[in-house]
Amino acid sequence: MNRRSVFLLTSYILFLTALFMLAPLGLATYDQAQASQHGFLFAFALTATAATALRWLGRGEPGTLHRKDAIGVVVLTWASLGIFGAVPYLVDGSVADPMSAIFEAVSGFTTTGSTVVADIDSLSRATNLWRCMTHWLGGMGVVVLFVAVFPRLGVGAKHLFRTEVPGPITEGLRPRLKHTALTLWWIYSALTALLTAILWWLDMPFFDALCHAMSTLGTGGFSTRSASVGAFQSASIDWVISAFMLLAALNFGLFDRLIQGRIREVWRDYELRFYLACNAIVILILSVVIAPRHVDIVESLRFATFQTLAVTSTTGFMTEDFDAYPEVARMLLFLCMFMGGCAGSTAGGLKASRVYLLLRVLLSEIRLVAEPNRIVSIRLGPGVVPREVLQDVLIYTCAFLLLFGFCTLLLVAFGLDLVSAASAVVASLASVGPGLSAVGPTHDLSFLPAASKGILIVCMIAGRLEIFALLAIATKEVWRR
Amino acid sequence: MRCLIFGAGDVGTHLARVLAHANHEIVLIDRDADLLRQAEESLDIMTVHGDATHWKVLEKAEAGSAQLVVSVTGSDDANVVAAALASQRGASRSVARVDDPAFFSGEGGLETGVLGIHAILCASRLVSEELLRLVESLEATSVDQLAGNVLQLASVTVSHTGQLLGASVQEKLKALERVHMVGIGRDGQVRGPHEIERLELGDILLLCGRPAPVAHALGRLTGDRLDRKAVIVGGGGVGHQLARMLRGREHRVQILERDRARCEWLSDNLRGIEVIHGDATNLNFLRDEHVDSADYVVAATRADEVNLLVSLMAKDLGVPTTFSLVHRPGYSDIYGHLGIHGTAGRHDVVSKLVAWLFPWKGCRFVGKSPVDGYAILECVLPSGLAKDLTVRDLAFGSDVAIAGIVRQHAQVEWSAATRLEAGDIIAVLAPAQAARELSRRLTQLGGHS
Repeated sequence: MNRRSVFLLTSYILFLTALFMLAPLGLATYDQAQASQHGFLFAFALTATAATALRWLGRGEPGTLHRKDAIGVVVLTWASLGIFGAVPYLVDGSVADPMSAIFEAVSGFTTTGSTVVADIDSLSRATNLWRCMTHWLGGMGVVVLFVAVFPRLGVGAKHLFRTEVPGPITEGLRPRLKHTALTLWWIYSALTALLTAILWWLDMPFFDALCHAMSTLGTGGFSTRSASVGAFQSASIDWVISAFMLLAALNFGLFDRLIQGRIREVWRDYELRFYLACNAIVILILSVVIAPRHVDIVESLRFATFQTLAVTSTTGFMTEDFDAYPEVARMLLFLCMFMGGCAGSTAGGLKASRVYLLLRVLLSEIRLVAEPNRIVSIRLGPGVVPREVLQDVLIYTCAFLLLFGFCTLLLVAFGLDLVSAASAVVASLASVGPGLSAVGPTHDLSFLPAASKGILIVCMIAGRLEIFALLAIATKEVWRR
Repeated sequence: MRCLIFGAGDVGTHLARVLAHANHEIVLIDRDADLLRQAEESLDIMTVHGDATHWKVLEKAEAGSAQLVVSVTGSDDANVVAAALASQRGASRSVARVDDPAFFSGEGGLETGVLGIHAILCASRLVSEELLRLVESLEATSVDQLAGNVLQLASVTVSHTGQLLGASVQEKLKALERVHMVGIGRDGQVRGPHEIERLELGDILLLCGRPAPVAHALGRLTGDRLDRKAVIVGGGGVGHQLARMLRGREHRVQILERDRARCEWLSDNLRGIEVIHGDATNLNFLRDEHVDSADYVVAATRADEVNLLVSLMAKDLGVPTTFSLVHRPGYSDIYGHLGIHGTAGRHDVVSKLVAWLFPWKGCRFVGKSPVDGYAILECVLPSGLAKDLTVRDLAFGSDVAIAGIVRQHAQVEWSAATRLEAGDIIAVLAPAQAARELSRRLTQLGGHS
């Protein structure tokens, strides 16, 4: 790893992050919320100073960015985001201790949406804006934004992009990565603006509309209200947010193809079909199972749709406490947490394409029991999935499950019950947010001991960066020049 | 500009690198997924896995919206088919590489407008020409290719030792056949040949024309002996064509080739050239064949390792100058460090010519001129020229010297009264800062539509 290049590029990304802190700082000044004003002023100064220090450490001509450097930049950036993003919460008194503040910031940037704040309604508007902004920035990725706006990255852009963007097959939308990153951010920003406008039109206050739009498109889950989206008690808002949660969980490349008029190609996308089918099945089952709790099937369908999409898109909003649902519904939602959204989206989880490929591999292996000498290819449409991709999918799933098991064990050892521990870990790894039982949607996680929070922080970052980038930083090969 | 490159071999990857550095959008297509993976690892490009002669692959790569398609796979047939298909689908420009010189109607190594393909390049011919240019540079101060290798600009500096010092310019002018004397560089200025009577020490003679006449003129002007002994190691496509070119320059050529069948073929097809069967990496063989008596050795086998070894052995035997064919991009510097005088590679010549084929307007920089402060520029005449526009009407200014004119990849024999057409390329020597003024003048000339 060329440390100078890593420091230099990370310094630019931190400068970019510091600039975003000016928005809540401005709002805090406008609202005369002194505590928040101090918090953001201090956070801005600290981030800018750290960026300057890194800039100094990385002074000189930036060299070509290699894969190892890209891993360094992305991991250092995400670690820095957790630390500097936490400063406002700590200074303005939103959270009590540094670990909780870091937890809240990491939960924001990784678009997890778990919170340690018990009374969100009491937070200042600036703090709520920052919480939702962290979702928005982390959703599409600060590094991807950096790739889009920073000139002259060359092939380094590709390494940075691939380290941050999740999914088994990350095909570029444009020949040059910078243009791909720009296209993604344009689509993302346009969808955010559209949702803000619709929510505002549906009588949600503008500030809440903007915050919920950022949170939805980033598939985060932070709300400006303690009761989350449920606080607005509006069927139209529920349906609109459901629709946008679904959109945010789709591969953003599909929107690009849609803009180019390649509609047939979009409909032929196997991952989209699989994801929609999975959601439809879960929604139908959930609607029936929770029907007795609601006045009619339409309302039941509305809540089932919202909760299912909140989980499968890994957003984690709530309109009612799904932890109080019957066991079948809870188990279904728990399983959905593993899958998450589509590759190339802002959602987390194993990704629909991986789950689909896993099922296909499983089916072909079952066939091979009867005909062991047969050579089976996994096809997606006209193309064959390369065996290396299948291998990567299997390895990633194994790593995901191993991490899940190991972290659950640690949380149980630190005193949490099994259901809460398992659901907290998977909700963090897949960036869903709320889990079940003690970590359910109506609970905050402030009660967890610092060590447990630390484990979940690692899970959140590992899940967002798809595990290997984070693990790779611990190997000596990455540090070797 | 969106560019599609078919073939991720040495030539295709190098071209992708050159064009990506020039900020073009590159899509690289190949049947070999490993080659694509290697290219993707080091370049900011998009790759498509598949056969470029298949409709589906072309559709996936959006060939119809490409401004440039370059087909440089290892197969001549596939290159022509792929480029023609891409043109048919709507690609603005297409270029195909064909290595077999028998495909071409002329000797230029460049064919235009065949099957709707904008240009078909003979890579082996182009690389042979580049090696020839290196050889000819031995007799000149510098030799530059102009207008897509159609013209050559050579310069000779008057020294104490040669026969040029004190010679009459008019007499030298008379001795030139099919070569234009662009001017004489003196005191940092390019002067017309009629402005100077006798050549002085340090004067730089500038000659322009087709490569063969220029080479001939260089020999006559400098009085250097033409019958140099050349040894070419490797009788493949490049060796064969280089031998033919050198024979035309009256060099005594010897080809050393390891494959007996190929030797027989070469002997049948190359009259007047000595073909010797043997392994050139064997030192005793080189001694037996008196390679040490050669004026220069060109290593042109298919393997970089052999070329490097042969060049070093020839140098060790006392051959004053060695040149080598290089296959892998980036190796040229290593050859230079080891004292080999010059290298040429398919990847390099193809990418230079493809870059040259890009449509451009006005005036563009080709290279530094041997006369300090002057640049070699190429100007393309715009559409909308006045009727009966002649060279005289160009009025480029007194400090601009016209080197040559090229129309549709062919040299135009010109005088002040020659009529010009839109699309003509005029190669000039001009003060480095004059490019903008020349572009403005070209815009003025195009204002008659």
